Amino acid sequence: MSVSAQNPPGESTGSKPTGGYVLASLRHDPLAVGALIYIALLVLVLVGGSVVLGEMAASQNLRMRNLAPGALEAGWQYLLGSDSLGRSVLARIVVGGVRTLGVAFTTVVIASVIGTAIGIYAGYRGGLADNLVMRVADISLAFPGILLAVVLLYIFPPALTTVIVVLIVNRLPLYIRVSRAETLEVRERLFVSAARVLGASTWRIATRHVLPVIAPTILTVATLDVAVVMLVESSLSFLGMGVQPPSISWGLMVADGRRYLRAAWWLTFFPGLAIILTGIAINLVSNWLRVALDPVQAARLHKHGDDDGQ
Amino acid sequence: MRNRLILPISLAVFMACAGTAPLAADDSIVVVLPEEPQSLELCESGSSIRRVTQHNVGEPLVQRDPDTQTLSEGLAVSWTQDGDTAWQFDIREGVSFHDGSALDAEAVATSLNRTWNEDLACGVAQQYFQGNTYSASAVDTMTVRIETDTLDAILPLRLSFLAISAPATSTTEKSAAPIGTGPYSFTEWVRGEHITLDRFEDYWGEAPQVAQVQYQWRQESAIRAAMVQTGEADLALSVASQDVLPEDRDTGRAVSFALPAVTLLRFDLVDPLEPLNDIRVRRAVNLAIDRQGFVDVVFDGQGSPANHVFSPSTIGYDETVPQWEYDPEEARRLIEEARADGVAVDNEIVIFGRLGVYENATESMELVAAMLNEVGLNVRVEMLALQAWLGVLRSSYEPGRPTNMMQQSHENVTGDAVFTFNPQYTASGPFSALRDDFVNEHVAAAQGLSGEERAEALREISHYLYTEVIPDAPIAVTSSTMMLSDAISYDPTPASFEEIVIGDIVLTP
Amino acid sequence: MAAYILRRLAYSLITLALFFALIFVLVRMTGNPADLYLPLNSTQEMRDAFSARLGLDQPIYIQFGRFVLDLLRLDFGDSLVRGIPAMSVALNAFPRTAALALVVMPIAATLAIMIGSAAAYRPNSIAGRTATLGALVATAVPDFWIGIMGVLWFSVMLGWLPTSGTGGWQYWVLPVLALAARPTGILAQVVRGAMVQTLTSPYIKAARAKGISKQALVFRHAFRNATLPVITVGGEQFAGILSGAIVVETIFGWPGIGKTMMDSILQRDFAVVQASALVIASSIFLLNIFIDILYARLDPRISFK
Repeated sequence: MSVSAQNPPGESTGSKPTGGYVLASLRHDPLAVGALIYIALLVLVLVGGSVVLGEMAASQNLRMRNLAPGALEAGWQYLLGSDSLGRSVLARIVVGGVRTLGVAFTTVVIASVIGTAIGIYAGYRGGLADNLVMRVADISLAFPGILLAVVLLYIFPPALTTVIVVLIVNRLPLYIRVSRAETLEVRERLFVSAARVLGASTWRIATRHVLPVIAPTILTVATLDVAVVMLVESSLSFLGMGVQPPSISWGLMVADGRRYLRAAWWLTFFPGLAIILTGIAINLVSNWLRVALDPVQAARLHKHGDDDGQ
Repeated sequence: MRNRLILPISLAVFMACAGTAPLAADDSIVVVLPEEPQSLELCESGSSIRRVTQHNVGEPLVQRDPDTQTLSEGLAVSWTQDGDTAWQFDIREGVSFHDGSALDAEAVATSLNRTWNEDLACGVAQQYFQGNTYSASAVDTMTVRIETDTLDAILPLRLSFLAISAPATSTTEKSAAPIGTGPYSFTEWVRGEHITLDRFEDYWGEAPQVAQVQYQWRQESAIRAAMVQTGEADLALSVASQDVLPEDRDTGRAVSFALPAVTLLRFDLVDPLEPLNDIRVRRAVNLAIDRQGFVDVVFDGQGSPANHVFSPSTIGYDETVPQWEYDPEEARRLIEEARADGVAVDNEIVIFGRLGVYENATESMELVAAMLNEVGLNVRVEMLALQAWLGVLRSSYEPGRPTNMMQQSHENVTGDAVFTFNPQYTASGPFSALRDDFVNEHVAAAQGLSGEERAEALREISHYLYTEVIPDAPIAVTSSTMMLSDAISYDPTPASFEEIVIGDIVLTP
Repeated sequence: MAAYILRRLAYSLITLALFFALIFVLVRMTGNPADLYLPLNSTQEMRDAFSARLGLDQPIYIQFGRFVLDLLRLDFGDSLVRGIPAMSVALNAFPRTAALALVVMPIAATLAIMIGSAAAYRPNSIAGRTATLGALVATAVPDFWIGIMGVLWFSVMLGWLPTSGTGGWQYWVLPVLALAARPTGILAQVVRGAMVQTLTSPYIKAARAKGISKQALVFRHAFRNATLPVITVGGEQFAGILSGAIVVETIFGWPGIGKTMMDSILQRDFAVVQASALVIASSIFLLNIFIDILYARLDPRISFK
């Protein structure tokens, strides 16, 4: 996943591919286009929907309990059925989605920023700082992530911020390791050495030279990570350690729904489907980004991948 | 390196594959529980343990009928009170423990003293023998004398919860292989997988039909129900209302029974905050709850509205206390009246719910919150795991906390209201949020009474609490549902949440 | 080589020690077990007596000191819940999870190689895109969703498989299915990525120009280049199952180490939490060392300093 190492010596790849080029690569990737459309629609629906449907997600109607999906004669909001208190599954998926994706996005943004900063520092400076950082990363690798999450969520009050902090701590080592590895590779490039000789400060080198080069990789990893965090949060909520009732998240809905397996399978099915579809879309976008942001790779793939008679 | 790993790896795979052997005989059954018992120690009182051991492996001196609460012979055939501080029990002849040793007064005394030994921290002692000191001794071969510090009028009732274990049982450690006198002896416990009990051929009483019972456990009610449906299990406990299909009830596969437990919302009257400090608001809360609707949604219609926190069959239940009508109009009126008098009825009230207290606990509190918000209160729900909930329970009246109500499920299996009043309403009770002199004094006085005098005294306290103080909002008598396969039939009793008497199971031919 | 292993082990031990200290402190912060082991209506005196009996009322550094001394005697303490040595509880549960992982990973790897090669062979064809999509679907499905849906369809509705528990091969199908999906998806993507990279590189073009068939190139070069990333990522996934199969184990009542540890946390059974964490961490460290060595053997470019 790292930027190709096959650049002729002296050639700087410090400049990102132009926007036009990135968009053009979409022509070759209909799946990615589909994924981007899905995500755009999803964000629209979630943000807009939660304004409209926010109240409906919590409003109970005991005469409309456990309706199967498609019970439109009871109202359009029961398109995906209703739960044991008569609440619209559709509305709950919308509201839950805002929380799920909000948590995932927030986590990834914060974790990637902090993690990348630490990783660049460790990779560039080397020595004791590097060693210390790697030891800590090692511990986190062996530390069962769920265990840490469970323990932390038991110590601190079960608020949403706690869940986000736990998830950030869980993802941090990934960004540290990736950015450190990338930094190590970039550190020895000519343009970095040149900058150092010319007296640039560490900070300047890090932000002006290292960061732009490793940014595409971090972005690709981060995009993918949104899907992973979504799954981790869902697992935590499933175990009762994540988002707490009466708040909603997709993972929590799947967890709650499993108690209604025989009676109302749609309570688990639809939130799970939402997780899967969103995860697929994010993966597709991430894959596309990885190729699109690396012009060498992209060129090879698009020019030659179609031919069979090579 | 590669070779050295083969052996441990194949061992690991082998061990993991050597799972449960299928039960061969037709007179064996499988019971699926909601959780694995923590131990099989006979002196423990946790329901997860007693479900397996009580009346199967271990038996008490005194039998208690779960429906009528009347006491009858168990391992003791008769008993008399001797003065104010002693009782004597005559022990049944011809009974032996599973290890062959004989049941006599010496064995009984040893077992009793072991249970009461503080160092062992037996749950039975802590739950049923509080507030007195007990010691047992053998007067002659078949007579046991129990001496107490202060008068205990209901000692036989307490003893109905205490199972007698064999003298060979360690007096310094809890046991994982119980030895009792019951119709089933303990065979094996494969941790994480199953527990097996086999019929004891030298049992003193009537031989049970079931020859072997294997206990398994699954956390999910849906899975437990599915296991009965597929034939993997014969008896499933604690099946949630949504996992019971209508045809299950029609065919008798699903049977429900009332628990001696009432779910309630406890108010904080130690240092009450607005608006729950105003009795009109407390009445309004009670009037705003549609109890029958609650029972229909949460317990699938099994269960009944409550106005005491213990069931009507309990001594101390006062018939003259009226049932709460579902009257949201009146509730609104009371709230407005309080508002007009300057009570801050718009203050946020938090319901601290307890996750897992019964199936669908979260939904039940969301339902109640919606009902209360309907009549103009400002209620939100916060669900807590047991540990956190206990923390709040013990500190719910500390400064800085919000106005709150605690979701509680109060259990009283004894049939005597004193076991409710003490923990729930007296100043020193662990669940009490009430500091009321009338209650403290009258409960203390009632302890020493017996018979109709006692009943009268307890009813007086109930009347006071539930018409003049309104310390809580009792919602419903909880019920539980079990599912039975076609191979067996079993009539549950109110004690069936805690005691599954395998000997009462009839195999269908 | 031996020196390298020894150095890695030494590093691991230090990390392990730090990790252990961390667990020790964190676990004790989850709360006092007294609340869960004594009846709900126990008094404060009873709770204090309980704490004193377990030594939990001592300051944390004293507790840690005693703990380290016990550790040196290989005494991990007894399980509060079961009364038997904590390490035996952990060692009893661990092989069950390890067995799951050992069954899941080969299946996942095999499927991944098949799907990944199909996706890489002709990346922009319909077959290629389908395979890629398949890999992505597998990556995105939560393991608990597969588990629950699997139980619903195959056990409850069709009655083909048991709902839960351990036993013969039928009991393994659903848990393995649930655990294998994500590793298959991830590895398939890794295989695809590595093979695509090889198949579109200049030296392959040169070989094609010389007339070597595409199939031969795929099998000889692309596969070999895919091996290394598969091992690395596969190792990570294996470790992930060892430490993270909690959810699947909970659904299926599989008495593995994840479930044991989770239950112990909920039950405040500190000794078992520590013992389980130690077992998992040690096995992951050993696994990492093993993977590194395997990697080194297979990659001629790496040598040990």
